[in-house]
Amino acid sequence: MHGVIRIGNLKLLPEKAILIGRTCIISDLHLGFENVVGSYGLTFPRVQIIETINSINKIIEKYKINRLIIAGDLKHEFGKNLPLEWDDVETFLNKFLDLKMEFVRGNHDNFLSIVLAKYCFELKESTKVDKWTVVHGHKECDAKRIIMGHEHPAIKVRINKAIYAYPCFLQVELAEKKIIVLPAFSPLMAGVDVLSTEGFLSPILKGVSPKDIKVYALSGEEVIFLGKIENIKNALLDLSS
Amino acid sequence: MIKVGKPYSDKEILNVLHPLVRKWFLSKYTNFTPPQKYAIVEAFKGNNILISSPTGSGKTLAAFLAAISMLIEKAKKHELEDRVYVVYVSPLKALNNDIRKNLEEPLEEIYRIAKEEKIELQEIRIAVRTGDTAQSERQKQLKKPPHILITTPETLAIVLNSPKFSKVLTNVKYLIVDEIHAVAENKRGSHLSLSIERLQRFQKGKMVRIGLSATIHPLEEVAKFLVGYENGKERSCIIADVTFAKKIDIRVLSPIDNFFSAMADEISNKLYDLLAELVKKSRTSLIFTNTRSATERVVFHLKKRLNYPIKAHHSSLSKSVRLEVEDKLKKGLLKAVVSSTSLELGIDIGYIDLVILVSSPKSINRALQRIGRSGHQLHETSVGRIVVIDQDDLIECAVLTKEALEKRLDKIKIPKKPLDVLCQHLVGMAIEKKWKVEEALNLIRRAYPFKDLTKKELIEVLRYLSGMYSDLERKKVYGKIWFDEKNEEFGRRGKLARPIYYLNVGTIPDEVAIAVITKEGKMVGKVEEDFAERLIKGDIFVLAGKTFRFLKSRGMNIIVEEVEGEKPTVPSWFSEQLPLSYDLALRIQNFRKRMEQLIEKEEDAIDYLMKEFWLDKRAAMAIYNYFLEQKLFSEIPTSEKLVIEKFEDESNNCYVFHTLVGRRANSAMSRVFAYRVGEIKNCNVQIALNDNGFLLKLPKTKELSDTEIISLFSLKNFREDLISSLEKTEILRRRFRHVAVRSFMILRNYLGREKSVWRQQMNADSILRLIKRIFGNNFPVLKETYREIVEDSMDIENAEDYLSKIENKEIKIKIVRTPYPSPFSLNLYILGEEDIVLMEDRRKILKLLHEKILEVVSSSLPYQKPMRDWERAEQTRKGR
Repeated sequence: MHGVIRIGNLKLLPEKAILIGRTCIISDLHLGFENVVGSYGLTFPRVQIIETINSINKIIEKYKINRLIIAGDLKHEFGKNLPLEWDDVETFLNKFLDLKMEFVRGNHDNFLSIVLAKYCFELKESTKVDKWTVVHGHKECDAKRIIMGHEHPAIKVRINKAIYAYPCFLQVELAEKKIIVLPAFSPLMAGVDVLSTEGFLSPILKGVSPKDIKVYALSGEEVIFLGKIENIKNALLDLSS
Repeated sequence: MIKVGKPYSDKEILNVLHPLVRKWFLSKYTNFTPPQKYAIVEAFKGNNILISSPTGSGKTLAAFLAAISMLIEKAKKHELEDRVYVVYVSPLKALNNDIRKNLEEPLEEIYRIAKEEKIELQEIRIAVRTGDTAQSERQKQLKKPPHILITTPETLAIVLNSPKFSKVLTNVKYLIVDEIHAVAENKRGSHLSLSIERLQRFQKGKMVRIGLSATIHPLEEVAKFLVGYENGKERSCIIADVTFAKKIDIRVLSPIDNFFSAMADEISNKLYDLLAELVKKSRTSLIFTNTRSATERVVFHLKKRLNYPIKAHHSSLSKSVRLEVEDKLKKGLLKAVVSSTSLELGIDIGYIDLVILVSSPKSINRALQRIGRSGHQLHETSVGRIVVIDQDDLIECAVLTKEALEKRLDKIKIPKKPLDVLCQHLVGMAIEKKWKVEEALNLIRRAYPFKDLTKKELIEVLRYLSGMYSDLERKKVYGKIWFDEKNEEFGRRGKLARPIYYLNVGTIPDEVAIAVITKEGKMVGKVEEDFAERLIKGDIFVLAGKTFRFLKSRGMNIIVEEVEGEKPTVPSWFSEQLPLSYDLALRIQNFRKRMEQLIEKEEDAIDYLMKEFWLDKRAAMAIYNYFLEQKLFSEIPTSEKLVIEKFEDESNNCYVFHTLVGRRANSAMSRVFAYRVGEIKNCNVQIALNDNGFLLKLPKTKELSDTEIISLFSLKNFREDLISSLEKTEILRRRFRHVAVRSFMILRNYLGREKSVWRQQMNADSILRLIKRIFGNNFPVLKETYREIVEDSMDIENAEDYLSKIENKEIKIKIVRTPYPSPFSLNLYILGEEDIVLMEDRRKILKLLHEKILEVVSSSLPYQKPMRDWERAEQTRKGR
């Protein structure tokens, strides 16, 4: 498998997904985003659902997965019902009914359980894959090994006078806890630059020092291990001088 | 048919005027001015007419007198109805009140004469309607419609959709379009041309079109723009060019005779001394600079030297300050006013006896327009002095002066079928009524910029606007219009279309300025929002000549710290510079050729420069020395010889192309070349460019052979390569956003909501990328973005023209190696990068970063643990 990085029994895929056995975990799809920004006057054609379905199809084909876990924020809006958002969610569900799908609740997933129920899916607070507990990350979690989303991690660097942005996986290894953070699966999310952010949203990452966070960036074709946040910052200083 | 008009005699004109108007005219004037001689009788006959004439030539009366006479006649017969007879459109909102005053005055005088003669006249109403007009005033206009409506292009587009007000616009006798030269070349003009055709559709009778323009060329094309097409043929129009009726006196002045031997401080001191001297000798002078910052600098230095009232006037100043300056100027209370472009157009500025241009105005038309601001009366001579700031400027201005005096103008370029403008009007039209596609197509094609629009293009736009661009859009939640593709009909949809149209119509992008503040709280200047958005922590950029490091953004501010001696990490892609016109560029190429022929004979050369270009000895010497130094050091590029210079600096291999085709064409050429170099060498290429040429910078490890350089000039796939080179550039990002706003994809004003909400969290690049991937480059918003960049912002047409001359050997290529930048290259070299064409793929950059991290980690940490981590990951990767 080219471009994949293995950590124990877990594989970080360049497709913004984690693979454990034949189970695939993705997070933060934010379906219906166009519908939400549309109500702020940004009205462009629906592109995200097309891109999302294509990407998942590629994963299915390439890694022969049989189980798909969404680690929260399948959809975007949390205040109200939006017509296109439901349409996107149902299009998504109908497309992958052959797979064993599981849905973990994110902070954007209000009302989602109603649609899921129609398809006999449950909206869970967490689920287990092997020794890993999959949560969204917006609430505390006591598990020792956590896979989560919520943060939309990315790095944004200026090299040779041009800006490059890459979505990332984050890995935290503490004595008492191991955590992997997934990048946002949505192609429309800007991503939060972990090199300049002043803190994480998730209570799970509260108090974690940048010294303990390793970054794996996605080039599109492969996952590349970069090192700890601090190392990257130092290297960038070196490159710009 | 477009026909050149003829001047009528005073008697012929007086004969057609209403007796009261005739009497009034004779009480005020002795004879008609040239534009009046051409226009008035034709307007009476009901012929469309376009007059090009300088300010102060009685243009307003030329345009209005026939209309006034007609209105007086109706007023006398008590036939005036409650509707609009005359629509006057001007792009300058500031001008509207002046025009109203200029009309009220003669009307009052005519009414006085009528009263003396005991003739009772109905009241003739004049009203101004713009975006600033209060709701109460608009209500009043609806109840008692003005007979003469004075408005702007944007407000015209809105009243066309007003259900009530449009009813009083169905029998307009005269449509007067003022300052056409200021809109024909941009999207405001494309927008106006469609508004006019929509207005035309309402008309029950003939609507005569009268166009007024400053110096512009060719007049035939502008006439077609004014009158439009009917059944594929242009409507008839009479043209009259009286621009050169006014005498002009232009000279170029150089503050110094050798720019290379002097330090920058000395040059600028001498420059301001020269300006001060000129100002002192004249009664009131108007000084034009090309940028707002230069305006401020000139005011500062003149005030230091002179104890006279001197003021600045530019678009960044508040309206009240500008009005105060204008007022003082009109009253003759100022010794000098310094302006960027804001005083170029129409506003009556009173008595000016000298116009000074600091540095080249970059086009012959603009030079004439600016210099025409002096000697406001027609019989007076316009006096202009161009003061140059460096050697390239000197040459440019010398050639420009000669061309202006010999009346060879730049050709205008009217944008072709801008789809974003079309989007706005289609929404407006859909609100109006239900349309058949064919019927709408006929109307749209009547407007000159859209005469070649195809049905397929129109349908694509309708599909986009109706929210049906993809099969997925079953619910069409955000469609702005209703479109039945099968029956080829479209129309209004929902209640939101009208407010969307009213609040978002217009073509000028609104740039939000972000304040730049030091961490100590000192304000250092402003940058555009787009620029601020693209900064990342640690970036170093240049503002107002100083270098700053970006720390963070806070709302509408960015926080920086000043750093000395650090190199900018951000290319300065925002440029206030005006581009040199292609026509003028070609003439400078010819000039270079002549200079090369004369270079051995110093006396002849100086003689030629002084005689042919009216230069003084100092300026002539400066030019000669410059060419001589170039000749000794390298080669002189000419109209028949393209010189390419190769040299190395500390970190790059540099290639200078002395193409001299104007920065717009250079921009197209340089990007294509950079892209092609990137393809061959697989590296990023930095670009610097100006009007005279461009510079490509490659990393030290990458070198181009002469054969490779020559291969860059291929015309094949030029447009495709240009479009590919735009991938991920700032210009694409920015123009896409502007076009998206104009196409109503991004609504500036929508239900009163803040757009910043989504701007923060979404990735605008990926919208562009996904739309491109899923719908292709024909998606209307994307298609227009590319068209605007390559045709309007850049100049692909003339870039290709230049390449074709290389291909058929009209121009020969000469490649030379120089030890360092030649005299002709120097300006380009010190300019800094404009943009970068990214050819290194994202993966490679990531690898580079990762190697660097490895290096830093291994050198700074004595223990091996992080290395082991790293190695483990690496080995795993290799092992799979």
